[in-house]
Amino acid sequence: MTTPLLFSDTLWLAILRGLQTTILLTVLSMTFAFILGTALALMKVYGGAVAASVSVTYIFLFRGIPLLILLYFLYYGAPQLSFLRASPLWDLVFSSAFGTCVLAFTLNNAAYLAEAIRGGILTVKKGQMEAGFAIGFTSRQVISRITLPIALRNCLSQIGNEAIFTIKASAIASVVTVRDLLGEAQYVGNIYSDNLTPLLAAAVLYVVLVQIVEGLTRWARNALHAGPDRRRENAKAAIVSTQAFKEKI
Amino acid sequence: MDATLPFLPYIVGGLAVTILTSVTTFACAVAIGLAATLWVTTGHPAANRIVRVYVTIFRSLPELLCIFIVYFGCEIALRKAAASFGFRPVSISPFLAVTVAIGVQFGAYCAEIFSDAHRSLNPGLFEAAHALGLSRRKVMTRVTIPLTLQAAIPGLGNLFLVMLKISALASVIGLEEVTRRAKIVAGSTREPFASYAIAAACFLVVTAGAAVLQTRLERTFRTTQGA
Repeated sequence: MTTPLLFSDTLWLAILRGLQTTILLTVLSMTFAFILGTALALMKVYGGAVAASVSVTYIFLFRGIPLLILLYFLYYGAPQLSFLRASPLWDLVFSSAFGTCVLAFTLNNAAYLAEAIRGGILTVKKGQMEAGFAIGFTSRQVISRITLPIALRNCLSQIGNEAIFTIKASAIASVVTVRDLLGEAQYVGNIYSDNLTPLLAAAVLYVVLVQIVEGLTRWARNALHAGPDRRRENAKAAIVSTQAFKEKI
Repeated sequence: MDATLPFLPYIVGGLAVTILTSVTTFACAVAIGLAATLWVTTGHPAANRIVRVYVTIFRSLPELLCIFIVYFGCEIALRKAAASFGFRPVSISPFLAVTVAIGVQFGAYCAEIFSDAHRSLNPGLFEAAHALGLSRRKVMTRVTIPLTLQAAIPGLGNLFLVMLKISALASVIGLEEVTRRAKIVAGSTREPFASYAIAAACFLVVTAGAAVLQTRLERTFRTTQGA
């Protein structure tokens, strides 16, 4: 009973369709979460008391609430609010399960990404920013051209880890009827009344997907860290930071 | 909101199941992770490769998928066993399925944490233990395991926080913890907003409490290590 289904077109076509949804979910929510997370990280590090506490509260809330409950809350709970149903957000996000999932994953992911990016920002040496100010950059320019590029490069592996967590977490979307990789596998399993085979097939694809992301992260990290420019920059950074260090003494 | 309030104790009561599940799966994961790490440190030729394959696979599987595979897989296996041995088919309890699935899966993370912790220890400590004439078993039980566990506390604390939140997934296969109860209440009162808000608040309180506990634990052990 298991062998024919394992080699049937139906299963693999469904799995590929699901793979598409999983990738789309991951890419969309990672992109939005990246923007939101960067903003939150900047607020926490450079913001005033209010901005920093907003960021801290956000991170506490969305790191503490399990993704499944957040998803239920947005999918079942939010439609109860009549003003939300009247707003344009309704058509864009809340009317579809897919949109709700992207929103939930974005909100959840942004909290984790904010912490990762904050870690990256803290690795940027003070001297590098002072050098920016010294050549006449405004603080906006220093952040966008010096702090963030260096910070993002330094937390690349954490961002890669987050991407992997998002791929895995996206399986939760199947609970609210989104037909992602797991959702499609369950759907096919229900049709053929064989619950196990499609799940195992999906498992293989998840492992492959995660390995690809892991490989990409490693490649990007090496590419960004090993070039001659980088080495020169590193040396410069070292010189600047020792000078700043001496000044402090 | 008014209709949901009477169910507040019911939803909050689910926390007992949530915490019990998390603690059981955590114990399971720690045992598996420790066993894997100790096996690697014995230097058995196959150990390293097998543990690495285990870690790679289970770190990349979604938790929900893992739970389903164990749940349905056990169901099928039990049905077949029941048919061939002629007893009445029994179904696996969701609690057991979750413990096995999440325990095995997070055992992979634990193995990573423990091997990092073990690597951070000074090899001189083990040499000293051998030099004192302790047997290999004694070196393991009195030196390797306690020191590795101690060095792994920060990592284990974070992992426990993750597992607390992951335990919400158990509701999908019918374990009656906070999430499941919130869903039941939401279905009967038609006030999903309030009941899921209560569930979210429950988790926030528990994770915040666990985080405080973790900081305190880390501080205690850091001082004993320094002394």
